[in-house]
Amino acid sequence: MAMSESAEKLPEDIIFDTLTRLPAKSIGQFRCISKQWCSSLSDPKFIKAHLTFHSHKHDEVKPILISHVSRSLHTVTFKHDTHNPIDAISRKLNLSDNMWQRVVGSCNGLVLVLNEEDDIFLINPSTLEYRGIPNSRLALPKHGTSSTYALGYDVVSDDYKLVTLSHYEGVSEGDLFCTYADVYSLRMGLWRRLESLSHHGGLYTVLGFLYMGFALVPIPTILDDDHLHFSDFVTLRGCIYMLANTTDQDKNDVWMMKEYGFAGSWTKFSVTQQSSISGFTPICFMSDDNIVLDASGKEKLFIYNKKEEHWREMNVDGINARTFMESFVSPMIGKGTEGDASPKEAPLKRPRRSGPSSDIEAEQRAESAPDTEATMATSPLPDGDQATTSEAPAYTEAAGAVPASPNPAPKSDNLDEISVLQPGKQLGSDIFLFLEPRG
Amino acid sequence: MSSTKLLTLKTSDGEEFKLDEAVAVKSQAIKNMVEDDCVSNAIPLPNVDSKTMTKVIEYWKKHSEEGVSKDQLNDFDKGFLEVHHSVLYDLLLAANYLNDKELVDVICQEVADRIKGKTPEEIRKEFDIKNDFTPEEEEKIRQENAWAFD
Repeated sequence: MAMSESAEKLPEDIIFDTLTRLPAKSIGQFRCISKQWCSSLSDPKFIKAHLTFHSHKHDEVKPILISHVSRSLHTVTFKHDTHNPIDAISRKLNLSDNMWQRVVGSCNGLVLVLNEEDDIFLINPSTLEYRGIPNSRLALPKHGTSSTYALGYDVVSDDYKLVTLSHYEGVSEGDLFCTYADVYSLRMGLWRRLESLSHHGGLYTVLGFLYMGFALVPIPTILDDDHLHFSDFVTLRGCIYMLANTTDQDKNDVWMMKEYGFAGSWTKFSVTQQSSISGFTPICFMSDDNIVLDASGKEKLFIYNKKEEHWREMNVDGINARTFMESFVSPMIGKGTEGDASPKEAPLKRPRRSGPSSDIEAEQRAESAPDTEATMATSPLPDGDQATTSEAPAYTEAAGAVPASPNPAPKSDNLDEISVLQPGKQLGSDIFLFLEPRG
Repeated sequence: MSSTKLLTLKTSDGEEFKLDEAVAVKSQAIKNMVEDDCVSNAIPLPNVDSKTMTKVIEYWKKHSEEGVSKDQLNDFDKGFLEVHHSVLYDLLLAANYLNDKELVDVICQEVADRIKGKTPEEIRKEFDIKNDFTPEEEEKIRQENAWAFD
């Protein structure tokens, strides 16, 4: 084929721009082209630009799930072809001998996974790098407690943070109920304990949370239905979706926050029930009308077509699906001081723990560091125009409704006050804490 | 409405193109010249030939048309980009020279889509790149990026 002279004349910034648009696999292969290409395509600046470009491509995310039989991790690639529009290929990740339990977080191509022994691993399913995250010295014991996790990217410190919220189960009403929040910095390899949240006004179950930085988000204010119960939330295509079970047996409601942070933008669409499926979680969109769902109890993925109101089973087995994007972000950043694993190391069943003395040192260092994220207080204060005089939150059984305050309020673990630590402008830098009153 | 001022663009091979100013300022470079008021005569574009300029103007005109739907524009773009790769690179160079970010974006994406599935050897051929790895070095890089080859 005749060589194109123009191709040689293309300026570097144009070539750079073009290459950031390529999927991660192409980049990996093109590193073999020449020494210069290898160096350019491995450069941190390129990796960052590549991530920035692809993080806005919400339709590029792929599901990652756990096979309920073998407990191995699998990623799913959709094949869009005209004959069989819902074809998908499930690929097993050859990572380690771990038996996996739950995928608990995903951010920028890194995925947080628990194994059956509740050990935490940070994995990049594209590059297959993984790192064991040691437990915090202050972590609650595994038995008799419940934990939720989140993984997020902290723009300010260019660091990935893992947050766990834990509480003791079986606490009876009237007792002081505490949620313990711990944050792990990937770069520093350190855990720090945030102020625990004490709840005097009632028991709260943390439903979960999304990203890093702390901001409070108003949830849909439902005035006409006392029996609305929010069961789960996810982000799809850059928007927050919340699932609600209603008294109507035939439909499940899905609420979508169309404009980030803006309470008035919650819009609802309904998903017609399928007789054998009792609950579901949306995983990702396959197209504008087709949603991939993880149905609870069924160990398969399903596709729901919004237009046709029709359910279809995908031939992909697995449970606990989340999504991830392909990226080069390495779990090895910072090379933490507490037990990290390199990709070529022998598989870990338990993360190595540093000895007690270095833990103490780590905790002490954490305490003396500037208190930028030491407090996380939440409040179930209702929206201004719905203020009531009752002590209990005005939102019935729905998750905590809190106005997003642009100004940081005084720190406190008193439920009546709000602290907004890092009001986020973009979805990826906020954490949403959803609390549900129990009992 | 705004005056329909016509600009004259002169390409490297001496051909002249007359174009509405409103359309021509899709090129930031031309826009700057208009603002600096140096467009009384024909604007020389020594880095763009007439064949490429014709294509660029075709794109600009379509994207300036009123009442064209997003779908119609997408269809147009698809057809517009169905050209031989050498034409594509010429277009890209021109769009870059003329500083039309939107056109550069569209063409870069097309180039990316085309090279996405190619092997390293095909890329070397396309861009005339010499493989300066020794076989051992290349094997090492391949191993490090084995995940990309499965």
